[in-house]
Amino acid sequence: MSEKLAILWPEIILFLGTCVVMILGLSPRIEARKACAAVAAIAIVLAGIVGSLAPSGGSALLPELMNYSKGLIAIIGLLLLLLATGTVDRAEERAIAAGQRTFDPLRATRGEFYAFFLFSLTGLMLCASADDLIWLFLALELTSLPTYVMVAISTRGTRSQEAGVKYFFLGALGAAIFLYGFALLYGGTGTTNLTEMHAYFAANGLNPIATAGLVISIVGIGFKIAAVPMHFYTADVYQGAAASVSAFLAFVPKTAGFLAILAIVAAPGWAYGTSGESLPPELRVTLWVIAALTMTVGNTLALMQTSIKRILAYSSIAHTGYMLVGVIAGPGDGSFTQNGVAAVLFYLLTYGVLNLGAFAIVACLEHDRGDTTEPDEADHIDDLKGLCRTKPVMGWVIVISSLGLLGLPPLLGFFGKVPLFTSGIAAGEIALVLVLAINSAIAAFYYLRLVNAALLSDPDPKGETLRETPLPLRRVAAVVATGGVIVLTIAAGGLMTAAEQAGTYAPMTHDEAERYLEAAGRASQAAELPEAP
Amino acid sequence: MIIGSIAIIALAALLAPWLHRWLGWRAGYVLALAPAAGFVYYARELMGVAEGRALVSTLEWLPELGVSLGFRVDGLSMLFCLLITGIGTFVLMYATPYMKDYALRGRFFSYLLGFMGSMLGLVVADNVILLFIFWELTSITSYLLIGFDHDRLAARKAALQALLTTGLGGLALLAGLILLATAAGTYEISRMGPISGDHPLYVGALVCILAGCFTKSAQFPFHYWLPNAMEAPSPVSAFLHSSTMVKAGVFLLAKLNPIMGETALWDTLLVGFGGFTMLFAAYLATRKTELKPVLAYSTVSSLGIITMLIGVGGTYGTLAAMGYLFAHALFKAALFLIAGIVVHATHEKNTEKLGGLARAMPFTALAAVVAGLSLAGAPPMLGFVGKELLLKAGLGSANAIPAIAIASVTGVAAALTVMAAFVVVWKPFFGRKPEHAGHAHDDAANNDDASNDHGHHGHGDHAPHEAPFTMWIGPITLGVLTILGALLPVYFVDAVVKSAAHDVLHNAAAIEPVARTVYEGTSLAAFDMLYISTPLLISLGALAVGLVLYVLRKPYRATTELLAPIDRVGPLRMYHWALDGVVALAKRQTRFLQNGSLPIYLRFVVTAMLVLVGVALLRTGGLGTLRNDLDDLGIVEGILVLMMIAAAYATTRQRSRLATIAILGIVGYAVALIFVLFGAPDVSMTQFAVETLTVVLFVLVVYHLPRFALFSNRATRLMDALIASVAGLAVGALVLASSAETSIAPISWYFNEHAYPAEGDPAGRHYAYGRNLVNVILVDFRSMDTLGEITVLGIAAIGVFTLLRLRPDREPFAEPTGAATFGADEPDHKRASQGEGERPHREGSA
Repeated sequence: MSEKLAILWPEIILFLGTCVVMILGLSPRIEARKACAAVAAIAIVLAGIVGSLAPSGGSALLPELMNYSKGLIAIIGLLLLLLATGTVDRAEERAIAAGQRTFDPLRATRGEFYAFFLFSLTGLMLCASADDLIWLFLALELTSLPTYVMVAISTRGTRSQEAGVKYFFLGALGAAIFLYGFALLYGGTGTTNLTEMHAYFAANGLNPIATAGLVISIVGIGFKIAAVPMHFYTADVYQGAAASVSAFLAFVPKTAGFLAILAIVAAPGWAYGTSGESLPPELRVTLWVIAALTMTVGNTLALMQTSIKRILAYSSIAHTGYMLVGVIAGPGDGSFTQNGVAAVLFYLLTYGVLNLGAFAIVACLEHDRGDTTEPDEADHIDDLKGLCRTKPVMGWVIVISSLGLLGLPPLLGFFGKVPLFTSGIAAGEIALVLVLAINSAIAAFYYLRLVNAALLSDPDPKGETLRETPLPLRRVAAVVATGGVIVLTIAAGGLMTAAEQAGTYAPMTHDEAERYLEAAGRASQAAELPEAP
Repeated sequence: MIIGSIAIIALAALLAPWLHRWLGWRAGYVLALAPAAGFVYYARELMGVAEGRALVSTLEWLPELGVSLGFRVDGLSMLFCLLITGIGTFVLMYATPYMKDYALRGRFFSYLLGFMGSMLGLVVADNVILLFIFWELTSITSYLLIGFDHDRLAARKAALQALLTTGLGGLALLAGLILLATAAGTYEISRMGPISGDHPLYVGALVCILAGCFTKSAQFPFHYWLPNAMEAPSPVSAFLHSSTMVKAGVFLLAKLNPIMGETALWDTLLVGFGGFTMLFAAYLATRKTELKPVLAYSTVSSLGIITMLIGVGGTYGTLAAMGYLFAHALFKAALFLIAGIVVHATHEKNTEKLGGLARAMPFTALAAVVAGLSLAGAPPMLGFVGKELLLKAGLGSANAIPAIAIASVTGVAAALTVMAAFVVVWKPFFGRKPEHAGHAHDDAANNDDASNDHGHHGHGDHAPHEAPFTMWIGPITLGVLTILGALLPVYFVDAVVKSAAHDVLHNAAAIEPVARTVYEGTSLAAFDMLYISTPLLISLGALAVGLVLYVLRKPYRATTELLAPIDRVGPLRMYHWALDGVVALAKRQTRFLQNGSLPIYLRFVVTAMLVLVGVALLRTGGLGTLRNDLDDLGIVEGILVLMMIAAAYATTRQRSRLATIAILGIVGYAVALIFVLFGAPDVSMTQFAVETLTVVLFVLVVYHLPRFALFSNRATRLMDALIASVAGLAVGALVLASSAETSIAPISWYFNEHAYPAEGDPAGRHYAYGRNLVNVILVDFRSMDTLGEITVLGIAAIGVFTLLRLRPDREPFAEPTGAATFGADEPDHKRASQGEGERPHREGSA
């Protein structure tokens, strides 16, 4: 218990931040309400520092995963916070400041919004330290539940509400599916502890129940990462939510899902079987099919869109497919070029930064329609026309982010993609790597449309109402993310080392597994009574 | 210094827009100093490199990924460095007056210099990943340059086509290079040893790398993009699409020749694809009448020759490859620049409408004659030397493909090329100008194409005149070099070509170093070729046949027109087919799957899950044993189960939401009762509480929603019923199978043992000291769960309170801001999720 507490300090800090923010948001004094974002930022920074310095812990199978993930979550989380600040109650606050309305705690959404933001990050960090299926389930749901509300309250339009309902419904379905999968895993192995489960698989092999449990869990978690067949919600929800929240959705639940999938796949492991070299074939086929379909579906759907948020939503599906290649490849010999787990972890970072820059554009540009309370986001691809000439900073943000997401060398996205290629090839998944290559080429279509519009097209005469958001922090987020792309392109080495270390995989041999099970009293039914936990 | 030469060009690229703002259109001359400086640097290092001292420079970058800034200039790279910086200088000088009237010329120079830097990086990179980075940068700068005239649809389409083709090839190349590096155990090309054809990764690496090289160098079947890329302004065509970028593919083939070139597969593929491309493109070139398309197809043909020669290999083959590559870069760049001058001056691209320009443009005509003779392979040009070596290599080839076939195909291609040379040089400058040919603008059919090179210039009708000095000096110098190179091949050309050829054959670390004097006996002098031999006879024959074909070009074109239908099934067709296919797939997916309708999403999710699980279970060989002791079920359980089934069915028949929720409650309570029956009263209590709360919350939220509307027809409902039943049965089967799993101890055993110490239990074990097992579970074993449940119930109660306070009939929370529509999707389901004309509610926050 106490050693668990020692690794949970980041989550505890975030939770305390949540409580403070929730109360501050209800204050009638505007100064107190304004402090919400600052408190949230402080909590995230502290959690990040504590999380990356904490002793390693969490899962015994991926012992180094936790610290890297928590640091990553804090960095991207902070950028997301910059982007999300001011999303929910601008109109309400303006009305109060103008004296048209009085403050009503029941109608205030600001505290809630930041609280849910922090709650979701708390869940995400918990995912990184999970070593038990029940823990993992609770962490995943703690990540997702707040996001349903964040979507629904992010704008005042009916679209957000429709998106929220849709998201909630499919999210609940996904949760039900992977909970069922977890139950079957327990049914097949008799434990919810992932290390013990690994020992069981290493000693006894997979049985049909556990296999079904693994497959169903992965399908269900597919909702979090937006993988086929649970990808449907993505475009509708990303489009319906405010861009800052869409950026949040594209990173936070996706990261949670990948951490969960890594934890679950690590249980049978990449050293399964007598030769000790690969995933169990059933699991490999499942992941293979999902990966190939996910990339292809995401990329082809993105081709036809005219809404930037929809394009980015479909592209986020495609990126999920790319990362699944790393999951299939597994840790290899542990070196960065062969370690698919490290590749996924590094890709999450590159995707987080690039994706944030791309969504930040939609969050930063709005159509001023006179005196309506809430300006529309500039979400149409034509809104980008000639942006490099009219608003050079914004223009270059979208150009660099799009090219980075495309994986154009030498930008950051390319260095994210190369280890996926190399680890896939090292694991012998050459066909899948070719699917990845073809998909990357298809992706060029729509990313280049964004680049074309911003860089090569002439400004749209209809775009006169287009203006930059008055929220300075959003622009800061956009610029910092883009600057990060460039800085990380030059100095990615340290992060690669960190990802390589974080991808360490510590499987048990058959004999070790039997000894472990014996020590845990699981060798047979008539074994000695186990010690209390 | 290698990095310096790239950096100075990159710096010029960055400064180009500013310089154009300060200095006006003449800024191009200043910018030309950057490649000129690079040229001087490489020219000074030439002799050292030719003697075998490669320039090397390495900086750490991303060691984790195997990426270093490793640069190495050997003989082969040196050849390219000199071509890039040398021709680059002339092209910049040429482009300065050429682009004078373009508004965005600063950007143009930026792209052009950006390309130059990338290309230079490509040829000096020693690390395969670094090489790939530059490779892709050349693709993207080429895309920007082809599409520079982005007002025109044709330019945009051509730019995208070129980028997609080379980009897809590029990704294959990345895979190939990684495979190669995995096989060789290093990412540095200079450290790779030869890889045997038996290596398991060899074939995969070879196919991927060839795909990359063939797309870049426009080899059949990927040749279609290059002629279309001629939409770019002429300086770009001269620089990228004839002399440098398209040679990147053959460059890489040459670079990898010592590593991968030991197999019959390599030779056969290169000779086969290269030879066919050479012949086919030479034929296509003769079918065209406009200047740039003729030159473009002849470029494809030349690239085929070089590819073939690398495959032929051996001393002559390699020397011929490098000699021809060098010669081709010079004369083809010159010809493109000349074509630009001609079109610039006359606004006419069709050679049949041009003639007699030599009088008006003497210098350009001189340059054209020299370059054209080289293209035709007439003595004493460097082109002639290249062709002689080629024929010698072909005749002496010890390849899988018979020498006689290579020689005869080369002869035919040579004849066709001679005809092409007459069409682009003789006809415009010395031919007779047809009387009826008016100005391009009068010719409606030609209008669209002709706007390419002068669309932005507002010239009126006036006689053609000589171009400014800076425009014709480049072509003349390049042309003269092709003569000098063949007449006095002792210093410059000899060193460049021979040391390049040497490195193509022997550059791998693990190969025995071969003396660089191996070529001493091989002359590059044109006069040494002029003795009676088979190659010379073929050469002269080709010249004669080409001349005849030129004179008879009208009947020739009419005859070949009969073969035109072949074009319609060509690879370009494949490209469009693939493109349309992807778009059609996207449309279909959007319409049928991604249409915003929840029921369709749900149907797909459940079906996909069933299929995935089914496939996985089939592979493991079924579910194993199912639990079959169902006879023990009592009457009460039976009734409860029937109740649940009936309730589940009833929910599907209800039109009222409230009733549906109430009926769902029945299922929940029945489950709670089952928990009671099977000895889990604590779980049962929780279930009761949760169920009650759920129903209350649902009622509060759903109260104001309209009744369910029926959107589906009978067939879809039947299908849904089928899917749902299969899913239910599958879930049931899994439960039965997992409860048949007996190897797992039930947890109740643990609670029992640890609740209270009994006689004979081991000391030191932790006990809860409670005799009532349920109490102990609630407050000890699962105290955290209990705490959580209490919290959840508390929060839920607050939620209920808030919902009561915020009931919409008091004050609307959100004014409807218009109907929600989801962009590309057709939301005919829309009303279903929003309610018909009802005010929207905060369902999501429940």
